[in-house]
Amino acid sequence: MTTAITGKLCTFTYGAKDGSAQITTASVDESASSETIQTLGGSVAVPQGVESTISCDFLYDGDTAGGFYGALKAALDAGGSGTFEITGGDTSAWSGEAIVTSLSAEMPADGAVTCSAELTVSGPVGWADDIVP
Amino acid sequence: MTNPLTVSRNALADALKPIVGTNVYAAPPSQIVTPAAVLMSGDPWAEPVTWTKTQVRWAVTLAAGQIGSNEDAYTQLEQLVWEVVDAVRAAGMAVGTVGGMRSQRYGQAEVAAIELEVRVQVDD
Repeated sequence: MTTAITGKLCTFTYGAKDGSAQITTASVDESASSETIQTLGGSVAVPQGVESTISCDFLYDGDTAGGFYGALKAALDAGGSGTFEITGGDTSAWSGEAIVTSLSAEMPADGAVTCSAELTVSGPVGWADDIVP
Repeated sequence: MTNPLTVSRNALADALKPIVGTNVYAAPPSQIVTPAAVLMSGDPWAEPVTWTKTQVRWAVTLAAGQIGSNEDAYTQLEQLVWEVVDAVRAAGMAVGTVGGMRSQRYGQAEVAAIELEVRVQVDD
C-alpha cells in the first residue's frame, strides 16, 4: 500500500519563518561517504560521515520582516545558523540546524518572482514518523 | 458551497465591468453585444503552484464593437486591451499572454477579437 502525504509545511527560523504558502519544492538530501579498506579478512567499508543539505524552491514573498525570504536572507547575511522543519501532514517531520549557503531570486518578465535556497545541515537531520503501515 | 473557481471568475468579471461596461459575460453566451468581454476557462484550468496554493487560468476574449473599418477595430481593441490589463493587475491578478487579433463569429455577428490569459492564485 502506498501512503501519500499531503498538507506539507516548511519553516526556517532565524528571527522569523513559515514559508509553507510559498513553497513549490523542497528536498532533503543525506549523503553518506565511505572508504573501503582491504584487510586480511577482506574489504571493509569505513564510514566517513554524513553530509546533509536542504534545497527549497519558493515564490518570493517580499516580506522582509516576517517572510520566508527575509528569514533566509538574514541568516545568510549574518552567516548564522537557523532551525528548519519540514513536515508532511501530521505524521512526518525532518528538522535540524542549518546555515544558508545559497539564496537566489529570479524575476522573469512573464511570471512571478521565484527563489531558490540551499542549506547545509549541521549535525544529523532529525526525523520523526508516526505512520503505521 | 463556494469554490475558488467561481469566486475568481466572478472577481475577474467585476474587475472588467468598469472598463467594458455591462457587456461582460461571466460565461460564454450564444449572442454578444459588443464591445464585449467573454470569460472562459483557460488550459490548464487549474494547477498547483505552491504547497498550499493553486493557480487558476481564465481566457478572456475581448471583442471590438461592430464599427466601420479594420483600423477602427484595431484602435478600439488596442485601447481596450491596455485598459483591461491595468484593471486585471489592479485586482491582484496576473496577465499572461495576449493572443493575436482574429475574426470570431458569435451567432450572426462576426467580430474582431483577441484572447487574453489571466492567472489567479487561490488558496487550496
